[in-house]
Amino acid sequence: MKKIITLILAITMLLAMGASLTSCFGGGEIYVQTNAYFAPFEYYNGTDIVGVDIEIMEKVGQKMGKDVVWTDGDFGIIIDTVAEGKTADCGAAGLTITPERSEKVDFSDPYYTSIQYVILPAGSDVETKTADGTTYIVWEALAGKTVATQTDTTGWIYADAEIDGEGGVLYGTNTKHEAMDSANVAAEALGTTIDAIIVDELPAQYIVSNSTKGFVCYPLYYSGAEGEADEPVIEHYAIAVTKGNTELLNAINEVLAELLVEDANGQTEIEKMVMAHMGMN
Amino acid sequence: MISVKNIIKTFEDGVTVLKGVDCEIKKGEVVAIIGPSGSGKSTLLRCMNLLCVPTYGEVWLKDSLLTPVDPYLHTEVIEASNTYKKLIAEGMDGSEAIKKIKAEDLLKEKFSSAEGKAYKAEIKKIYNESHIDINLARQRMGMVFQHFNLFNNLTVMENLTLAPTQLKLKTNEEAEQIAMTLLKRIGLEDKADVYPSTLSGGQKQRIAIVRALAMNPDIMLFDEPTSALDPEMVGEVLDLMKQLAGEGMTMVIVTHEMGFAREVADKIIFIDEGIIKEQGTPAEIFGNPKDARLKDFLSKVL
Amino acid sequence: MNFFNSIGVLITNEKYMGMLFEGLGTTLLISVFAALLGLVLGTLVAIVGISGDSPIMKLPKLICKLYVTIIRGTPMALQLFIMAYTIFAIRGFPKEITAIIAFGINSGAYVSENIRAGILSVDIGQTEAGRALGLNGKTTMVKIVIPQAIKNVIPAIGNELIALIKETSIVSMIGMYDLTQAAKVIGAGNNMASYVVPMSVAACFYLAIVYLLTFAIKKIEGKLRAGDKR
Repeated sequence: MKKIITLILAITMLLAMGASLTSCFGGGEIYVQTNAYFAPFEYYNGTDIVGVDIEIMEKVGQKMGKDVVWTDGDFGIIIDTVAEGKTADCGAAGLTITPERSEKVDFSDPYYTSIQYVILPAGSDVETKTADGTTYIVWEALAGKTVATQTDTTGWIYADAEIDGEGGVLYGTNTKHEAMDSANVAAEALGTTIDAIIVDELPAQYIVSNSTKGFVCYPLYYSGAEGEADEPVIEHYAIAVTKGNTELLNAINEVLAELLVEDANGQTEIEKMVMAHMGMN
Repeated sequence: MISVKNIIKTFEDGVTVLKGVDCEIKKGEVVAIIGPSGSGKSTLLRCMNLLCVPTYGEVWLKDSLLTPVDPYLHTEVIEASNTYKKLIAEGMDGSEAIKKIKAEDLLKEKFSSAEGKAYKAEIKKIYNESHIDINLARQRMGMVFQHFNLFNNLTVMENLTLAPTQLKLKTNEEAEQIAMTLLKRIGLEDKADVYPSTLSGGQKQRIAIVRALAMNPDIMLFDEPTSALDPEMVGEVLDLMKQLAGEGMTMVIVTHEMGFAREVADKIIFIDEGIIKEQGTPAEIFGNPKDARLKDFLSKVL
Repeated sequence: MNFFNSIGVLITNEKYMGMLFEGLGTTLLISVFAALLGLVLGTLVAIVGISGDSPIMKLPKLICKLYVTIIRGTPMALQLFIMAYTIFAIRGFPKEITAIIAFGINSGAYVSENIRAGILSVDIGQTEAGRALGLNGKTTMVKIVIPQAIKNVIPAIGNELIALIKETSIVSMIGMYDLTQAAKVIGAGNNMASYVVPMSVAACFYLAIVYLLTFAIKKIEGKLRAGDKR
C-alpha cells in the first residue's frame, strides 16, 4: 500500500512540476501559436504548415538568428496562449486587431487589410447591391437567414455583435448565427442547413475558387446613413506578441516594414505572397 | 492453544452476533461448536484467526495476542486510566470502581489519549510483549471452509504449494514433495495437475484440508466442512478429519454432524444467540443436557 | 456517384493516403500508450478503492474517489485542453506525451471502475482462503484475486479501449496531426475542399482498428476462459 501512496504522490508532483518546468525547454527558438485552417495565411500542405504568416515569421527568425517553432491549435486559445507567454512568444494567424485583444497582447503594425466577406451557395436569394462597380451585401440582406462563422474569429465577433447582440443590425430579426469549427466545416453545410458564411476576404475567395458547388462571395457592408455611401466591414491583421517582448515586436515590425514597401508596380511583397499562396501569380 | 476472551462482535449493520464469549482450546483437543443457524458459531470460529475481527475482547494463540489489547480484560490497564483515578478520588473502593467501569463501559475512548499517558503505556506494554502479526499466526492455524475456497486459477498442486513457497517456508521442490505426499494420503495424486473446477465436492474439500495441512499448522479450524457436500461425499471428508483427530491434531469444528461430533470431539460447545449456553464432554451434552435451548436444539437435530 | 468518385480520387492519391497513414500513426501511438497508462492507473485506483478501511488509506481513497468522480464527470475535450494549455504548458514539450497522459488519466478512471467490479465479482472466499493461509493482502490480491478478475474484466476493458481509440480524434483540437486532423487537412480548401469524403475514409480506418481489436479481445477472452469449464 505504501508503494501506491508513493506513486500517487509522485504523479501529483509530476503534474505540479509541469508548471515550474516552463523554462527548462527551448531557448534559441521563437514559438508561434497558430490555427492552420486559414489559407492563404496558414494552412496544411500535407503535414506541413505553410502560408503568408509562416513566410513572414521565417524572415523574423532569420533576422533574429532563431529557429521558428510552430504550434497548431484551437483559434480561440491563441490570444490567451500568447498573453501567458508560457508556450508561445507570439501568435500569427491572421489576427485582427481589436481593443479587447490589445489589452492582453501587443500587436505588431498591421500588415494586411481585410474585408469581411459573405459566401453564398449557388442560387442564393440573398440580395446584392452594386455601387461604383462593386457588388456587395449589406447586413440587412441577411435578415432571417442562418449565418455561420468560425468561433472567435472576427467574422464571429461581428456576427455575435450584429446578430446576437442587443442593438445589433440584425438583432431580433430571427436571423440565426451558428459558430462552427472552421469556415471549411461551414462550407460543407452551405446551401443545406446554412445560408451564408461570414469570413475574411481571402479565405472566402479561397473557398469559392476551390468549390465545386458554385459558391459565390461578396464583401459585407454596413448600410450608410441617409444620403451616405455604404461602408465595407474592414479589419487589420497583425501579429500578436507577448506583452513586454519588445525585442521580438521590433524585429517583426522591421520585417513587416520591409515587406510592405511597394515595388515599381505598386505591389508589396506581402501582396505577392498572398497571390502566390492563392495560386494567382 | 487458543484462548478467546470476552469476544463481542457487532457487524457494520449494528447486529451483535457474539455477546461476550469465553472459551479455551487445549493442545490436542478436538472441540465441536454446535448451535442453531445464526447463533454465531461460524463467527466465533472466524474470530479465532481474525478473518472476522472482534469488536471487543481478545484472542490468544498460546502466548501470542492476535487482537488489539482490550483494556477491560486487564486490571492494571483499568487502574492506570483517568476514569479509574477519578472514581477513586471520589472515594470509591478499587474493586467496585473496576466493576463499575466494566459494567458501564466507561473507557469509551479506549484507544485515545483521553484516559492518560499511564493508561496508554500499560496498553502498549502488553501489546509489545504479546502481540504477533496476524499473518504469522495464521500460518500456524489451518482453516477449512464450507465452500472449500480452492483457488480457481491454480491447479491442485499449485493450491497446495502457493502459501509455503510464497511465504518462503519451503523451496518449490520441498513444497511439491510435501504436496505429493499429502495428495497420496488422500488418494488424489492423479489430480495434481487439474484445476479445481473439474473436481467433485468431496475431492475439493479433502484437497482444501491438505492445503491447510501443507502449512504444518498447530491447529485446524473447520467451518461447517460438510454442509455444502452431497450426502454421499460427507463420509470421505469426515473420515479424513477423524484420521487427523486420531493423530492428535488440535481441531475446532463448527458442524451440524451431531454423530460425528459425538464420536470424535473431546468437548462440545453449544452456542446460541451469541453466547455459550453450555459446554462439556459429548456424554454430558448429548446424554444429560441442562440448558433448555440445548435440549430443544438436540430434539430437533437428533 | 460524385461521392464514390471522390473516394476513388482520395484513395488513389499517394499524397493523401500518406497523410492519412501519418495521422493513423499518431492515433495508434496515443491510443496504445494511453491504454497502457490507463490500465496501470486504473488497476492501482481500483485496488486502493477496494482496500480495507485502515486510517492510512483514508487519504489515498479520497484522492482516488475524487479522481474518478472528476474525470468521469467532465468532458474529455476539457481535460485535454487543461492538460495542454495549463499543466503541460511548456514550450517544446511533446504533445504526444500531453495527449497520452490526458487520455491515460481519463481512461484510468473508467478502467478502475471496470477492474473494481471485476475484483468484487471474485468470490470473497478466495481472498479469505488466501489470508487464512497467512498470505498478506497484496500477495492474495496479486496471486489469486487479480488473475481471476482479469477474465471478468476483459470485455469491459475492451469496450473502454474501443471508446478510447475513437475519442483520441479530438487531439486535432490541440493541433496534433492524428487521423482526424489528416482528414480535416485533406478536406481543407487547398486540397479536396470537401470534408465528407476524407472523413469517411478516416472512419473506415477507425472501423478497421476497432474491428481488429474486437477480434483480438475475443481471442484473448476465449483463451482465458478455456480453463474454467464447470
